[in-house]
Amino acid sequence: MLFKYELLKLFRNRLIIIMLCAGFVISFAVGIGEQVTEVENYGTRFAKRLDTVIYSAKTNYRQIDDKESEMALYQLGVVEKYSALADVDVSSRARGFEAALSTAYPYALSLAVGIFAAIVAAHSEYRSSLVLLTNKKGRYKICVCKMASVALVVFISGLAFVAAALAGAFVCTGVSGFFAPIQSIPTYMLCPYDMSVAAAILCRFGIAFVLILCACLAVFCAALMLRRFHLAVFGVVLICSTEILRSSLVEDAFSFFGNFAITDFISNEWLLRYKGMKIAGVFVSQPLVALFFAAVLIAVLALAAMLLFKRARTVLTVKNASGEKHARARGGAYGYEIKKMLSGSAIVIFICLLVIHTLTLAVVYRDDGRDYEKIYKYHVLQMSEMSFDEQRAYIIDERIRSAEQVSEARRLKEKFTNGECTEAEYSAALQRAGLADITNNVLRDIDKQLDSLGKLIEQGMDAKLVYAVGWAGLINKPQDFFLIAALVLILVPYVNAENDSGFIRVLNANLRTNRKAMARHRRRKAAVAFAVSLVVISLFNAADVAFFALRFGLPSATAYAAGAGVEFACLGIRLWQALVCKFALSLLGALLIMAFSSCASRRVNSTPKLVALLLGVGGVLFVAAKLVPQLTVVDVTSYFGCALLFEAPWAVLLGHLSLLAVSCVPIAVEHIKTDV
Amino acid sequence: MMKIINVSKSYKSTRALVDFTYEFGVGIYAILGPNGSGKSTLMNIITGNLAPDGGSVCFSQSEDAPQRPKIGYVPQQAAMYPYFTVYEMLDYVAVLNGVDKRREHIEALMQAFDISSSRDKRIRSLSGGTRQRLAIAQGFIGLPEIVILDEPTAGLDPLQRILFKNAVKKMSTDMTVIIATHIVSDVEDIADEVLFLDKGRIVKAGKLQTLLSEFDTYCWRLPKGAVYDGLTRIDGEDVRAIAPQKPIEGAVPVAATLEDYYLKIFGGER
Repeated sequence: MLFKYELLKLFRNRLIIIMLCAGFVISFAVGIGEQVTEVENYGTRFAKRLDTVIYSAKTNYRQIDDKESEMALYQLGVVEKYSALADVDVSSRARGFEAALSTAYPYALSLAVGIFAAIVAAHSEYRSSLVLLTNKKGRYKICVCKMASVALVVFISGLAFVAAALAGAFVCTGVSGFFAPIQSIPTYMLCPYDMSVAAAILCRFGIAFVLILCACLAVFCAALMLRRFHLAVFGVVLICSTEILRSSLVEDAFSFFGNFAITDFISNEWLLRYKGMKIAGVFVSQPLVALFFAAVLIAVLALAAMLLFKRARTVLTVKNASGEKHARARGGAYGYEIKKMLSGSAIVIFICLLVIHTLTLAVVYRDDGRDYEKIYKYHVLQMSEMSFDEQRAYIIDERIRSAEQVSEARRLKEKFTNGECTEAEYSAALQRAGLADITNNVLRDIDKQLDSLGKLIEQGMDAKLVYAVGWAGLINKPQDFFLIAALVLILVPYVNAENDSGFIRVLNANLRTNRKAMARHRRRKAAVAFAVSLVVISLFNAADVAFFALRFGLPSATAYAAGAGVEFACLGIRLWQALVCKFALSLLGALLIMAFSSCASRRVNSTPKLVALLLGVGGVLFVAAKLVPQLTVVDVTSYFGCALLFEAPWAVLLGHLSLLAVSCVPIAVEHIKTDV
Repeated sequence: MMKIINVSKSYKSTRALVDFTYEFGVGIYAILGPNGSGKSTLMNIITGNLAPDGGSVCFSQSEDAPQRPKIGYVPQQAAMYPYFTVYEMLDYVAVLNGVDKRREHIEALMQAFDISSSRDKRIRSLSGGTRQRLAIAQGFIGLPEIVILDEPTAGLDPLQRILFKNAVKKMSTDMTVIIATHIVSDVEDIADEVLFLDKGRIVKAGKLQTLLSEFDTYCWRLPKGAVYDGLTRIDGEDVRAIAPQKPIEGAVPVAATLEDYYLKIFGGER
């Protein structure tokens, strides 16, 4: 019975229902957007690729001295796994399962629903304190029911979203080959596991469910500790970013943490690679390691949650009750507004997100590509004094030279296999070929830059080649999700502060007969919110620029962006102007967040609902833009990066004005209504 | 000062206010009625927190020349920023209302409502009573022409109730104070006019003294041990009965109180 009521608490929550419906629709859309890849002579290709993998693993094993080492066991495992796949019949093609297997959307959406359900389950007792005030003994049972109901919500949502994705695919391409081997889908040609498509979907769902449950239980514990919703959301951001950072940092197949990457299981990574670790002398595959530790983690988290719930109290310890003096807010009305916005939690949220943002940059752009950079710098330096035509000729010469080195290495490989050359000669050729390969990539990129440069020169502009590693990284960087999170978590509680405290009733009464004062108050709030957004955006952008300048260097800021191979919609944009535009676009994005939350706060009084609504609408627009690229201009997240600089300015302006209008129409309607 | 004309409000099928019409001048008005009678709806409409389905609220003698008096409001539930101190909260409201000489004004209000000792404490650390007194004090910031108090005495101890009544009476000399409550004793000593509200309609309204004098012949003290199955209420050791004629032999007519009147209006149908 208890379980029934805990479940009722979740399913009576309108937002959970809305999220479930939205998730279903998005998953269906993802299924519809699925594309079928046709590959000719699939069976032959499959056999060849399998042979290559087995041959490489055997060669690697031969070169390893310690035959008992983890690496040696891994190579043996690869040989064993892929040899077992030799008899797999891939003649019957499976279609329509890409959406359920290859996209992270259904699982990520289920994670979102689960996180929200966990927060609602934890906070429901703080809002209605009856249980916490009266039930001292039966709390373990209540807590178990809460966790079980969250698990059920995750299970139902996951199942519904995967089913929706499959339904979408069925409508679009048709579904067939449910029991065909997973290797019959081109994306999973080298999947190391001998299983059918049905088993793969089932396994992916099962493992994702267990790991999502882990994440949700962690959120449940965090929400029990942090009573305020936006702090709980911040806790979720912290947990997720730590996981992303960790999985980016630890990719080693043989590290303990590398085998427990939630992101790998939410995406389809584990189906594509054979990872694992040595436990008690036996190489255990990644899914098994993950499942084992997930089970341990679930037990630990469940125990922690029960202890936290047992100790949960509704009455907070009163601090400062002994007449302690507090500094008064200064600066009149603006001083009070700033005090309302910059609470302790807002500052902590901002600092933490800025630090995580910088850390993520450091992890994503770590020192892997040093060789590429050195070669790139060398060639750009060589070409700096040449004319455009000379640069073109130089690139062609260099590409021919590196292609020769690669083919020489191939020739030596054959000779080495036939025993016609020494291993030392072959290794040296391999090294040269590796270098030539990187050089080739560099030259290809510089060639692309020259293409862009050519367009500017055609238009009579004085453009020059720029060392573009830093600039390209900075400009092509994906949207700043941490900046978005910071703005949402700082702006929304501030915009909704009057509703949250109930002061809106007093404010409406006080300023009812003084519309000018009300307008002044709103202007003041907007100004403070805008000023704080400006500071937040400036600091995030400054962190970006400082990082890329220190890590790669950002030379020739006054050169045309096309010289760095970046072709914006307006070719005449210079690099520094691109940064200014990015900053301005972020401000427009902040304006959208403010306008939307301000509008929605007229109807939705609680900050949690407002944050969830904002994230939901933003999420839908984000997915829509992913599915239909023409909709990028209405994707709010695209304002927090350079993506919109590649779109026509009129389209961006139109998109922005439409979003602003949609946000402001309800305010205008309400204005007319209250004018009775 | 304020005229409410034919104001109606419904929540789905429930009619919370039905063609409410009344004119408020200077003085203290008590709006009495049981739970769900429409008091808070009326308060919210007056303060602009709720749009009526029909009718209008005019803040002047005539609709053609509206003057705009200031309004102070004390809602039923605390409506303050927990991270502000007592002084800051009052100062913030004063800033919003454009009050001059804020410091002196706030000090006087804090004195009147006995919250001076808590001036630098954060609101989240205040006791329920102090928080309520602060809420009442903020309603009087800038000495507005109209002050609306919705259940203002909830959470106040007897001494604080007396302080509240004294302060309100003292400050209401030049303003309209509307108090919505169902605690009759809180307004009995201070109200100039009383409105009895039931199911969204005014069932009786007028000057307190006039109402009570009309009602004097309705109130009887029953002899000890007497049994009467009409409207009665216990008043200390006495039992009072409400009846148009002498209810039983030995009953003595007594002066009516507002509580008797309340019982007569709302007790009959229950």
